[in-house]
Amino acid sequence: MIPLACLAGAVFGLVVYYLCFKFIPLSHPLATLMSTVGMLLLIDEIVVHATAGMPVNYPTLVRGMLRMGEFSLRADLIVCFLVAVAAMGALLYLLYRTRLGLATRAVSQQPVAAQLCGMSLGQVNAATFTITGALGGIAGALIGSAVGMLSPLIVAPLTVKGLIVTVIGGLGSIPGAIIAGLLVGAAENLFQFVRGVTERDIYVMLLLFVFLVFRPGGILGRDPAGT
Amino acid sequence: MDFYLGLLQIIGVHTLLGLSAYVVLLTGQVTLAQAGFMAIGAYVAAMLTVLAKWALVPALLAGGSAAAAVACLVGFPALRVRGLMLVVATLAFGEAVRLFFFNFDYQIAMGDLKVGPLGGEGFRQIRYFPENGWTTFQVMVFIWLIVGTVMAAIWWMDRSRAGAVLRAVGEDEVAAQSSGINLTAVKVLAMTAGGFIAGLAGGIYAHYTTHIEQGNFNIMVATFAIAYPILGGLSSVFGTLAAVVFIQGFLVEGLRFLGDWRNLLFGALIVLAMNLRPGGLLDARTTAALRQLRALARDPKARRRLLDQVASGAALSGAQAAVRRRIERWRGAFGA
Repeated sequence: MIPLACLAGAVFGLVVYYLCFKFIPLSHPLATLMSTVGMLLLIDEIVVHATAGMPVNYPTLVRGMLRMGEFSLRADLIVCFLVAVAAMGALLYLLYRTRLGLATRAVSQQPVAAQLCGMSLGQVNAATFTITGALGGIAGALIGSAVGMLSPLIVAPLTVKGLIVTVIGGLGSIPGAIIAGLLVGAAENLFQFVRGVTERDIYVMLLLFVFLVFRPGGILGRDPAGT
Repeated sequence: MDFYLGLLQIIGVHTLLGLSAYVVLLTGQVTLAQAGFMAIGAYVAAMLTVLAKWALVPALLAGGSAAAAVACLVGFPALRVRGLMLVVATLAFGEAVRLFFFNFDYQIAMGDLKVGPLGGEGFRQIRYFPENGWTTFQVMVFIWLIVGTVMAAIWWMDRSRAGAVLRAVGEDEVAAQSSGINLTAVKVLAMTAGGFIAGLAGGIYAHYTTHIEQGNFNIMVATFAIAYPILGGLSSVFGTLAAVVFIQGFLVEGLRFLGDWRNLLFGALIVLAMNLRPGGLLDARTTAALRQLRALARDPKARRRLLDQVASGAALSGAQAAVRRRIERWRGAFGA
């Protein structure tokens, strides 16, 4: 199931690259932003159209519980975690140990210089989008199995939380993201305990602002201005 | 008839929303906080007219000012970061405002009725227009007077020194800073102005719908706020207006006969529009061409020259050359 999601995601990533980036000149960054928003609406609507707007049940990866004394863990969540860690490892290997990864980083830092060194911007970007799509596909399959159902509506709050964690942890820092993820998760449950579920997210957003004021680079980020 | 008047009201409010993002986008900042400012303006203005019995215009101005004050406060921490981080920060702010109003109860008994915002149920009975006997047509005229004033003000600002400063920051921050522009001040001012306009839009929105709730100010509204100026082009305020008419008039209302398929076409047409016109519907070149046309209309000699060109086919071959250039570019993109 996961390899299939990965493949489908990769194909979609490539399609998105061709439809939203390929023909828009690099001098118009806002245009690519807008075209991807259009694509988001289109994909959402295709899903809604195909499922008649109803959430679809999603099979779990594995059944069963893992017991450790007083604590019990859902086995499927552990599988999700392990698959996610494996995907992250694969991404790090790809970025830092392969020629493609070197080219990707070169293109993101100095597109003109990379092109002068003989890299094809188009090919590297297409490959990057394929990888992004594949990772997104894996993430989607994992989220679907963790939540137990699929609907285009489930992703928006998760995306917002994920982005907040990325910023608090420091953009581009993987240990930072892990620490921030644990921190935000703990803070969320604490606020929920103290102030109730409806006010919980306000305080998480305020936490983000506290970080923006005092540590704009995030917990472990090195670049205080962001990118 | 009322349908078209209602459509004009919607277009007016969305134009204000788009203009509020336009000012911020001129400085090169992508913000998703506009829906939050709109919510603040809507709730403040509605509470003033319903609970405090203020007149409409002072209430709208107060709503706008409240949103502007919040925008100024938020601007300082948020504008320390750029790019994706700023998008996330403003998105979080917008969501925080929405959740604040989700938890916000302030009800006053009026006669045998309790009025005021009530958390998730929202704020009903914002009946300023019906109570004072305004017709739909009068409301529409009122909205467009405000839209016209704001648009004229931004258009004038755009042509003045202030506009040049905003665009300088948007084009190249380092160059702007080295020519003595205070980046933080400019960005916070743009954010404040944007907050004021979004607050106005919210106040008007609250009064013509008569019922607001936190769900009216979600991420989609914030996305549309930046979509209008980007889709319309940042070369002039009329681009934003054109984009609002395109989206609200054509994509939302004009394609309604397509039923379910409209929503599918909606995203696809936005993707197509950005591919065909990356600089926006009214990009810099189109604006320059329109300006030239207007100059032609004033100058009879130049008009005759153009007519001669058309007669000799020179203008036509110019258009052909433009098409050929575009095909070349696309072919180059395919690597063929």
